[in-house]
Amino acid sequence: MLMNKRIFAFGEGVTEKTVWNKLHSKLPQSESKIGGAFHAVGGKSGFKKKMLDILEPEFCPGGYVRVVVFRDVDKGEDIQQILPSFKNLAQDLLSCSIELVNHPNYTNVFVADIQPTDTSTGMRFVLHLAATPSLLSSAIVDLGLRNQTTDTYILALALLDSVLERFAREAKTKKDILESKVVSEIPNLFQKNGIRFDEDKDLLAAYLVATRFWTVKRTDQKERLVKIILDRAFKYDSQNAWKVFASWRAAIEEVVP
Amino acid sequence: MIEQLTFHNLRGIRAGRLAKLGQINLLVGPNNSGKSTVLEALYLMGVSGREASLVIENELSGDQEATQGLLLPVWTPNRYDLLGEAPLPRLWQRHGEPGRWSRKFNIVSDAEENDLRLRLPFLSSADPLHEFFVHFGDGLHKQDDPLTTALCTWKITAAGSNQPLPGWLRFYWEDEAIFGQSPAQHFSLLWYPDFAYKAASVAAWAAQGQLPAPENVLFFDLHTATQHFHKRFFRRLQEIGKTRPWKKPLAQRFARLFDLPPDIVVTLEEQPDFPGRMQGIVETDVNIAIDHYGDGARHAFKVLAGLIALAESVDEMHPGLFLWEDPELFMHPATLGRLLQEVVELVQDKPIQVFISTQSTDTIAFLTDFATRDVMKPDSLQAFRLGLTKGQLATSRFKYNNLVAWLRDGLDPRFWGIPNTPLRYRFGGRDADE
Repeated sequence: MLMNKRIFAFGEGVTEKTVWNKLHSKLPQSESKIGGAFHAVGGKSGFKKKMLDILEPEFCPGGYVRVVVFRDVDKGEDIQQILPSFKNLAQDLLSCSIELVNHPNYTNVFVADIQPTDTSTGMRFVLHLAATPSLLSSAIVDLGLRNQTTDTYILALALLDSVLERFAREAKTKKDILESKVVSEIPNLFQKNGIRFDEDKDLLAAYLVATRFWTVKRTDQKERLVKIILDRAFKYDSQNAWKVFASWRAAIEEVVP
Repeated sequence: MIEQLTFHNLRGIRAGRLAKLGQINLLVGPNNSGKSTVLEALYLMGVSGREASLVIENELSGDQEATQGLLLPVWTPNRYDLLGEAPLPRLWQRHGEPGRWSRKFNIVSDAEENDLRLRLPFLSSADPLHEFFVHFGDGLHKQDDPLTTALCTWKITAAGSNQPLPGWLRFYWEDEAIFGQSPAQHFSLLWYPDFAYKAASVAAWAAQGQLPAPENVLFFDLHTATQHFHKRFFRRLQEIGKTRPWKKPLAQRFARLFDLPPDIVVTLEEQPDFPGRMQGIVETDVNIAIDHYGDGARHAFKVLAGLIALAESVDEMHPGLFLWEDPELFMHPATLGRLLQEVVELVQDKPIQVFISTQSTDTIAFLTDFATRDVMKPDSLQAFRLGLTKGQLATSRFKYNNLVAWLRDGLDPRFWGIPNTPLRYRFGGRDADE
């Protein structure tokens, strides 16, 4: 009973939660394999407090806690700088040292596993650091994004042909025109006028404008846009959608019972 | 304040520990996870205030202990608890047994006026308690009807690491580390088979920290809510009333709960149909017996009456213990919230330790909310989730910050693992991400 099958997933905000919910629902036998809640920590600085507040009660002798963390990587941040903070956090929870081992197939996924004893708690800890997803439009890569966040993955999905096609139809235009607006014309216009436009969020904002999302969907909520992009990507091109989220999937599969 | 509890072979608990207890402790978890057992263990140990002396003469195999054969001071439960009920009959009535346990021991000899030699045939001959000798002090008399039941449990107190405990206690205790610890340790033994794990041996439990004064232990459960008060409790209220008011505070708090006029009067009256029992009367424009109100009002009235009596009885030298099983019984959530607030206000500045077992997220959420709104001190609140697997008690402790994080994120502290209920809640009316 107490060998807990619940997974505690942590990420910075609502976008990560939306992605988690989508991937969770799409994984085979997900209901029986994965349960638990996603916890938005409210920004990078919120990981430690939120994770301690949520996880402390789970640490009782003989228990086994499953944790997966999704963290963005900002420009200038080095993976080797990020890892120690999570290693220390996991050690604070377990009161013993852990080793985060790189996933054999994904350089941005790290795993630690401590088995429980009669007097201590075990933990499976998986850390996913955002990276440039495969299938991201080369035009975007060429822009040299300042950071890697979950929005980068959403952007990659949004620029899949089938997803673009669907949005273009609603905006009464062609997908090539739409793509051009998002990946070059709008960014170039901003940069030509000396306005920085080099974050994945800027590109998603351009997408929102170019698809006339506000007008068509009567909402400017970014999370609504993210949800629709996810829905359309998995509906019209699920194979490539999974390619984009391959490292996410690897992280989730590492933590499931 | 009791800081830690350790259990061995008590009811469904083969072994387990509750550590870092605080002033207000919530016990949550599935059915049959040990919540009631914890309350009953606290109750029995808490009300044990009648002194006797115990002599164990049975030889321990291969290890004759120096303390063996000596008189050991022990305490058995008081004749009556704060509500005027006999503790042990009250406990086994909770378990559907008659008001008096059947005797499962043999009185070998009772020739001496204040002595009794007992044999427990269901224990092996190697068991130190297979046969023992009890010498009664002034507070315990053989003529006393509940005596033989009272003798089924003893409290043994070691004042600290300097006082050696009898070696035979180790026969009932797997955990050597608990011996010789400071501060004071209190051990309870209960040999009645129905209360021992798988009826196999003697139940034992220990508490670390300061126990309540035995006369200041209030155990409130379903049976308390549905029974009339005993006259002995009324006499206690009368005694309190000589120096401090109890009727007016009770009336005011009850009126606040149910939106009654603030000038209502309450009292207790004898029940002709129930000799020795008293019933609460609420005087508004007409007099209404409390048991003619709905069950929620009966519950709330009796909780408040008992707790006011407790709060007016305690001081630093005579702390109190309030054990409350299922406060949500019969209660609408809004009334439950008001009742919990009254309870918190009554205990929080008093030397009263509270243990509440609950199946209600409302109870957890209200108390967490009180701490958030400074109605109570956040660090006085904690919850313990209990679970039993093959007799091993698992506990996880939620401090205030853990409770807030869990409730805000929609997690349910009552469950180990994934909740399988269709209802989800939003604590504070918002999502965690907002």
